[in-house]
Amino acid sequence: MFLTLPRLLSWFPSFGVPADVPGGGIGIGWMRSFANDAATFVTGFVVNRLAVVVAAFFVLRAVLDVADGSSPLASILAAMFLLSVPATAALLRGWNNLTPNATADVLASLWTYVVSKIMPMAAGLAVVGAIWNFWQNRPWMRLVGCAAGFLTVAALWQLITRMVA
Amino acid sequence: MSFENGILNLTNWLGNVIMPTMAGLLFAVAIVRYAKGYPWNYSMWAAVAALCVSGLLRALETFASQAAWNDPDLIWITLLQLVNWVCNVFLPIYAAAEVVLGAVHYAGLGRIMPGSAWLRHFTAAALCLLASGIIRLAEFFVLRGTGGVS
Repeated sequence: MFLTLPRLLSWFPSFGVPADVPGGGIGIGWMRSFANDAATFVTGFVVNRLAVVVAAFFVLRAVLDVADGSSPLASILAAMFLLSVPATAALLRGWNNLTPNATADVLASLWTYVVSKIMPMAAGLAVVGAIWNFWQNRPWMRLVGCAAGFLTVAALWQLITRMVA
Repeated sequence: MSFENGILNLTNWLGNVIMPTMAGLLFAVAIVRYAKGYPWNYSMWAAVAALCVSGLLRALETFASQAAWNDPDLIWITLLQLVNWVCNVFLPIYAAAEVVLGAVHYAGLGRIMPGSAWLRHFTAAALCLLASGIIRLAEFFVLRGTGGVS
């Protein structure tokens, strides 16, 4: 939403509300200085240092999750997500086509990326989980169905759209 | 560092490194449970499955790729392929195994089958000493099966 906010604001003039975002840099000195400091804070402190430390905490939490008897997967994925914040931000920026529909387009690209890249790999994790649950006499068929579902999400979407058409 | 690389490497590491290693532990658990007279089948089949995580995923991918990715019938075709495989490949093999077991029981060999306590302990001792060989044998069968069932 923040990435596509300027394009989203470009809808407002059509409603009769002037909301043009001026081009170029920030002209007011103290405000430009504040913007630079905020950017440095976010990049240097939050992304490069704090996110890494929080990711390390989630790795520790994954071990504690196992000790607690729950799945460590959520904590591991959270750690991976925190470590990959710059790459994810760059990916989202790459999908921004700078049109008034950019917000929906970025979300559509994100959906396609998740379905075509992440879900097939998640299917592998579901197979591993199914084997583990089978060994422990816990429900495992739902994880096999989940793996098959991950591999066919796009077809499921097409099926739903055809049903409502 | 990207999230995609992270989850890809996590999946590969779990499926190709950790699970095949865990297969040895699962076989050991199966042998100990067998020695104690507890149900051991789940551990043994889980060990076999742990050796072929990639194969199971490839099988699911094959079932799920019999039509174009945006074909609304893909869900039904995937289910159809799975049902066909279970009925035409799995059940005939299972039937052969049941016929063999039926013949063994009909011949009265049930009394000295591994269900008997004394033989179970001797068999368990042999299995404990042969654990590595059993795992290698299972790996051999899995490797032989990479060509798929034709």
